[in-house]
Amino acid sequence: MTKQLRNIALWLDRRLHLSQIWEATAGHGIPKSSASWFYVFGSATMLCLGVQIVTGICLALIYQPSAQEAYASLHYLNYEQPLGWFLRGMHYWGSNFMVAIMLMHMTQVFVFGAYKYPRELTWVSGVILCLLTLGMAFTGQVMRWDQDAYWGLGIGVSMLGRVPFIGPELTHFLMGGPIIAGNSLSRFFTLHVFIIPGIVLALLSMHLRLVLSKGINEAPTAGKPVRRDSYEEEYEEMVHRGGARFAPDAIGKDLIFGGIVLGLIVACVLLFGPKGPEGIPDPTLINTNPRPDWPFLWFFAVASLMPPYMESVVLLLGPVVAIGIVIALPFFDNTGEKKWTLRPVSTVSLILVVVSLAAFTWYGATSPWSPEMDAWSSEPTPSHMIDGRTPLELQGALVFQYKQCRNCHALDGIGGQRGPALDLVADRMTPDQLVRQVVQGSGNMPAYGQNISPAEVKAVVAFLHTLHTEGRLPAQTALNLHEDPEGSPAGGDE
Amino acid sequence: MTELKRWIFPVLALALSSFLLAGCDKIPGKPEPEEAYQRPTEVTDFNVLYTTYCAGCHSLDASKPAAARQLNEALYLAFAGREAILQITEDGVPGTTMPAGLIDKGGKLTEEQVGIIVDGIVERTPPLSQEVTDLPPYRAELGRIEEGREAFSRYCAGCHGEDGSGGPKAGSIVDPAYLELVTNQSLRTTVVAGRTDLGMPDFRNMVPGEVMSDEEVEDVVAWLASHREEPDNPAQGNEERND
Repeated sequence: MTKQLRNIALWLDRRLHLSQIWEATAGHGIPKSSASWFYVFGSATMLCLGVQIVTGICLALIYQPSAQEAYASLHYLNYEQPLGWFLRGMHYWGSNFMVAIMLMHMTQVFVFGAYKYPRELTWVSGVILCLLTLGMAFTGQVMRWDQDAYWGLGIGVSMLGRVPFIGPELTHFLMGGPIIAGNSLSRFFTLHVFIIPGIVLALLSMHLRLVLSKGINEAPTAGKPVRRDSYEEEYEEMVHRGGARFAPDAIGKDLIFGGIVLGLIVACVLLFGPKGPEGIPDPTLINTNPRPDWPFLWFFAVASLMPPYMESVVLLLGPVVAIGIVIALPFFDNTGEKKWTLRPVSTVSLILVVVSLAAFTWYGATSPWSPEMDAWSSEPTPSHMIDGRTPLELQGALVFQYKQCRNCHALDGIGGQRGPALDLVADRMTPDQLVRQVVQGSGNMPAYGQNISPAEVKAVVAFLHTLHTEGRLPAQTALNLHEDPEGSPAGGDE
Repeated sequence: MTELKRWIFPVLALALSSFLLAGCDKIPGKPEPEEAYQRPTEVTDFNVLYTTYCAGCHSLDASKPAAARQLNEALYLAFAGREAILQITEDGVPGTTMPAGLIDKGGKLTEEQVGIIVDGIVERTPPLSQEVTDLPPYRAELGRIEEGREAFSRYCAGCHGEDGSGGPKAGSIVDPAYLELVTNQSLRTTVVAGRTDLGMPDFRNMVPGEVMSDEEVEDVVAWLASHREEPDNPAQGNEERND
């Protein structure tokens, strides 16, 4: 029996050349220094892609890409289909891990100088794969067809609408009409399921082919710069003398890391579950707080924080310039040292980019510029700001809530952060200044003069004037000193 | 022996994981239907509704002072009754900071949701510790101003000052701006039910051993209301000062 099976296997191998293919691919030679834990991110990204393909196909069996049915089909998957929630969770967390590990892979490639001669096209194809993966993440967010999807898509196509001359046509083409509707979902479904994955698989083949033909970059050594005339010979020597083979010498680390990644994906699914769907995509529901998935939070923050006059330039030229620089990197930094300690400009640039992205991502996640729309009716005035207040001041506390000041101004750390916290506002503003601020507004604060009665102004200012450091007098205008019958030095002079 | 040592750690880890997992009766990541998104108009949980729409002014913690009346006071509930609370929740109190609740009146709540909130308020309010037989009616006409001044002096001046403009324990109750922001009914409710969270006694306990009569309540409210006048415009004062 065993002999017969072996004969069948050999027959198949002779016909299909399986062992030769294995030798030429997995068995390719690599520098010994590349068989390290720093080289496991590319294969792990591919593993995540595999997870996405398998779970995506399963999801497509249930998901209904129509405006009427999409949301309901996700509910069905979450609550009725056995293990449907697990499938959605695997697809969601698989996507998160794919983006994260892909960025680690890219960072490692950059830090190790692997984009330099002769691997320029490996880098370029990788950059395009990175952009396509982000495209998959964005179109995948649209598939959730909830408030995040609706408003995220709205912002995306609005940016596209700024393209000179053809902006409106582009927007219309992408949305399949003048508004976000069923046609938009169909188009993004096609992009998510057919077009982008197709291009990803094609480019991935090219990427892998280049990895095989140009070899895996060696771990850089200081003082061994890349020279066009000698690098390939040196690399050949590195691989053939004292080199290793990917399988079986290095593949173990990839398999272990792959196993860890799979375990982490499953753990995240079991602990945190799938994302959403959040609120229904109904633009009449104004109590929404939509925000993109994490890979786009930094962009959300940049778009929110930049001054209006910069918007068109940054939104249209920014991505072109940034992507252009990244793609062109191996062409203007083609040779020389690979060791990061000897590439200070690259290293500092990378740190700046990572820190900036992390900071903007944090801002995007917390979005302090967004008012807390429910704070006025759901966050009680801290009781220590109520205790011992006069009836007018208490009415002021109510006006503060009723006029929704709390949505932008926090008290006791609770409430919006768009405006400054007002816990100690009376330390820095006199009653007159408070009146002026309420009535005329300034900066980001609108003028409430037309929407607030004199009695309400008086009450809210009376309340705010009680918010000062304990044991310290609240701020007073110097003019009041003239009215002080006890007299002040200034008054006495007069 | 060496073989055993190789396997002992993974086996122990597996056993420990299985032991810990056996304690779970729920997978944390598995979404539950009750956690699914609901349209704001479909929410029917009292706690969610109260927290979202009422707590901002009426507070969540009944043991601490709130900007507006705590809605779990037995005397207030006995005085106002379910119908009045329902009407206020539906329509709001025009001219004050109490907004209308019903969608038809400009609010965000359906009739069912208003009913749930009001029923919830009634249900969670503890019963009166003793029956109040002499509770004034919720609504009444204004009384006599002059007699009101005398009643105020007797029952209220101890805290709010003889002329109502503020005393040792409480601030002015006759400030035109304050009176502009409250209704006569609100004054009446405060006189009768007090504000226990702020330390203001109800109509039975203003003066030890003496209970305010219906007429005295009406008179005090009339005297307070008589102080209504156009309040100063603080912004106007600002402009003049700036000039």
